[in-house]
Amino acid sequence: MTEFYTVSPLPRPARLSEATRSFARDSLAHVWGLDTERTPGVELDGVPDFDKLPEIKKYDAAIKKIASDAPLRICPGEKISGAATLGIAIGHCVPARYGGHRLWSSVSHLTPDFASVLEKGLRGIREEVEKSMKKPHDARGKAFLESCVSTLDSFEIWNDRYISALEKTPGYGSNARNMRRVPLDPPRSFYEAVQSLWSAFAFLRLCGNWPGIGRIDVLLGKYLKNDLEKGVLTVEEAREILAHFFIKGCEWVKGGDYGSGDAQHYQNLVLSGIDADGKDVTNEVSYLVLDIIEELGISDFPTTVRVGDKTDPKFLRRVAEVMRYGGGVLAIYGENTVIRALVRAGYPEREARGFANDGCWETQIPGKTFFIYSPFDSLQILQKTLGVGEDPADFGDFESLYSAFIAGIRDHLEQLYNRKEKNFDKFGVPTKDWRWAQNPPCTAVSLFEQGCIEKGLSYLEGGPVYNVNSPHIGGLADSVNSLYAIKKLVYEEKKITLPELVKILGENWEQNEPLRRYAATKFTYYGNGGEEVDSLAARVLADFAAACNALDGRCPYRFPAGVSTFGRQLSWAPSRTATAFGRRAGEVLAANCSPTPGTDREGATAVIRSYCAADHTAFGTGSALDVKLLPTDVAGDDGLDALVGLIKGFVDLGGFFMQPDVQDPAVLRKAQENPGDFQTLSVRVSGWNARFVTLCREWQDMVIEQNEH
Amino acid sequence: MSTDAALISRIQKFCMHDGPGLRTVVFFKGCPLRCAWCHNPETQSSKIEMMLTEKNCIGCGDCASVCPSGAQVFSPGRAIDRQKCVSCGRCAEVCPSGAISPSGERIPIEKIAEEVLADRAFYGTEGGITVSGGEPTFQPEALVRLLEIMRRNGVNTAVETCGAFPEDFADTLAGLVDLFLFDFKDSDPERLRRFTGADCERVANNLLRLDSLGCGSVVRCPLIPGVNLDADHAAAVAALCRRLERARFVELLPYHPYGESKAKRLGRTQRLFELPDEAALEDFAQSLLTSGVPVKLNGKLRRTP
Repeated sequence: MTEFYTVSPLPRPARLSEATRSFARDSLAHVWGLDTERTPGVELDGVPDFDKLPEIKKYDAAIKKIASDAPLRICPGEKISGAATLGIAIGHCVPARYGGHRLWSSVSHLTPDFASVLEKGLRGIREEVEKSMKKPHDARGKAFLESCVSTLDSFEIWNDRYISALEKTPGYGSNARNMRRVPLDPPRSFYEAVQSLWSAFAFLRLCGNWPGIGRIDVLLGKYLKNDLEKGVLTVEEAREILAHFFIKGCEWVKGGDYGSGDAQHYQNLVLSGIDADGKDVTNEVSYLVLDIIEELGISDFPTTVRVGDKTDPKFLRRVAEVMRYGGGVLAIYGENTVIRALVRAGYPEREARGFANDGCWETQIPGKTFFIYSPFDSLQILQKTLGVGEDPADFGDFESLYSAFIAGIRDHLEQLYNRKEKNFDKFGVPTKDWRWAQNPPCTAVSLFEQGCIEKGLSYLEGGPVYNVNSPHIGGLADSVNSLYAIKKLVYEEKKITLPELVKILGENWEQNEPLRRYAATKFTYYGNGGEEVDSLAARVLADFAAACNALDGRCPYRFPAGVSTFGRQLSWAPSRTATAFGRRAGEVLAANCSPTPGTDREGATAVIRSYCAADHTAFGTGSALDVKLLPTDVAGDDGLDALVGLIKGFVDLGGFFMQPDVQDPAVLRKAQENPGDFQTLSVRVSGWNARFVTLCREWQDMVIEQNEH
Repeated sequence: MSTDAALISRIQKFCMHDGPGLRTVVFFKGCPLRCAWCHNPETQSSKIEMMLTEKNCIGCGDCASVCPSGAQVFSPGRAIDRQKCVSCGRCAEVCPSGAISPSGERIPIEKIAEEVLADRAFYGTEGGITVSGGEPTFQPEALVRLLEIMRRNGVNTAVETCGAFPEDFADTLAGLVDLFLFDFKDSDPERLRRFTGADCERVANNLLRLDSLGCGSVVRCPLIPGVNLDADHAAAVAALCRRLERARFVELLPYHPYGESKAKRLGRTQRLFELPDEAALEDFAQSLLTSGVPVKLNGKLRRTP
């Protein structure tokens, strides 16, 4: 029987058919992903007068060619069909070339409006385009709407090719029948609904985009309920169908050594939580998703569970059970905190309740939001404030130093705000003639973003209902720990003056080992539930959020604050000097809003309390905490109770987003030595998962270090 | 002893294997027993001792310069002269590298309670505090005060005990403790005295008394090859358990030399026993299970053979 890796002593359960399990194994063994390397993309050199076409017509020609020529793939025994078979798409580009060159990058960090695909079908969306065409639009708008029609035509060309191919292949009658109905028209059954969702997702990916899924249980729940009530489908059959959605979702997996992993395509999904009326949406689909993750350990749809006041304890326990198998596929949103944060960021309450994410972990209103984020390293700002390695600064007291640091953050945010020339024509002054800059065409995703068709503007040109640019602070724990160590060493214990300390940091602690050890071991840093340092962290976060708010509103896009690093701590390491809390230059330091590795000594509850000391409702796109657990932490029934307690505590204390992962560093080391034995070992990296063996060495080392206690 | 403070070796958060749910374990320092296999030798003495982690020492000599009794030894090898040490703790205060740390601290009860309550959000209905040690009942008044505060705050209470406490103390504890994690180290009185110093009859009577007072318990049996990992002891444990109304199960604790490195840091050597083999442990478990006693071994609870 096919086995899927788990760090748990309990084997993963086997509920799915062996055929489905072996389909999963083949997909995870990158059979299909490698296939795409033979067909990187379509060539447009044969299109008459291509280089004379306006950009958007070039795009239409490319999409049409992709839809008409992309190889079809029908996997043995697949229950749903359609595949993104062009290799360049996996590299975040429209898979089309002219004169041997790629033409456009594509779109990620969005969750399209799949609800409309299900409810209206492509036919309904086409009607909306036609309606909008009757309204007055400028030339850019008219061209965009024509492109919408052309892209819908292309979608149908691609769909029709599958129907004929499936009809000619024995054993795929259901697939063909479903595709005759969806996504052109609304589904009548769960099976059709899954195909419809898959078709829309797969077509967007075929065109190079990396969409997220959103609230899959909300999208599919009513179709399953209906089928179960009518008795036309069993839960077991439904699980098999849905499992094929998950398995086909790994079709871009290519194995090998891919830096940050071979599964980072931002296709996250969201489970459970409340609806606009405040009712719990959890349904049979929510449970089936958990079953599938538990059994196959597929990590390509990282899944975040919304946990709040209405969460059924039975469901939460089920979440904890699945989490114990390790792999970090499941993460947690503290629903109340997220909704309050979104309302603070300016969304109406009912809208906020429908939140999902952007396909990574940042929260947004699905199908309505253009999203970009602007990350930065606060530790490097502090280094500059202190003049490390340059001219050491002096501040008479801690408050003066602190103010200078916050002023540095403010200046940096101002630069980030003004650096978005790519997206906006004018800056600083909201004027009547303000408009979005012309950006590369992206009609395929724009079709499924509310606002675009109505306004006649693409996803990248202000079309969506909400437009967000979110600055994300990184190195939070490292900056806070540095400030705290300086406060203690310089201003309280007066062991050393600030310029002396800064000079020592510039010299990377050389010849100052006793002081370095003292700084490293004597104080309680962020992540131990220590009140003093935690309130300093809360203060930095609050001041950062306030600085973002001060800029918000100058342009008609939102500027909500967020906290994350996404593994950027790795690329920041070479620019970082030694720190006052005893770290040497160039070390890989804290991830997200988590403690600096090695400084948290009191266990997961202390980490959570430190994080929750800050008010995370200030972060409209999110604030992420990593929690690493050992298999022994969660072993047995005791461990299960403890995990449930940990999640509830996180949510009750006001946590926003937590990604727990159960890993054994010793096993990860073994996997480094014998990658062949650990092909399906998944780890949570940050907003995404990776098969550990497809991370390159430095990413692997970072994950191991984060897992060590 | 003052009832305002307790001598504590450590407060450990995020524990999941010392009673149900997620718990904070408070290790009381001081124990009437001297078990040869003790896991926490730093909690035995009621005196604060300095623990030396040799590998962290950078040889800076700061400790020697503040030591009032000349107890810091640097050759032939790094050590603390236990005869000379007066436990003033100055060395630990100045040590820049964390090589020296005190084995305990006198902490006001209110402050201990505050630490435990800090994690309330995680306890739910199952989890709470586990008072362990050392032997919690060796500081009876402090223990009672701490448990009373926990009771007032609605926190579930568990106490881990060796059972060697005065008989009438059982009555005091009974109303304050939700679950006893009760060590039953050996059923052979002579062996028990020799390896731990405990009085077997008193231990068994205290367990029976708590049970008759309505207290829930988990009976914990450390199993040491060459000492008590045998059929007679298994039969005796089963016999005792049959007399208990409210024992949930027997938890088997296979011997592991966890205490060895800590003993070394205290300047002591600890006797080593053989590691138990799985088959012998399983035999022991089966013997209990066939007598109808539920057994937890390696985290897994079983009710039938």
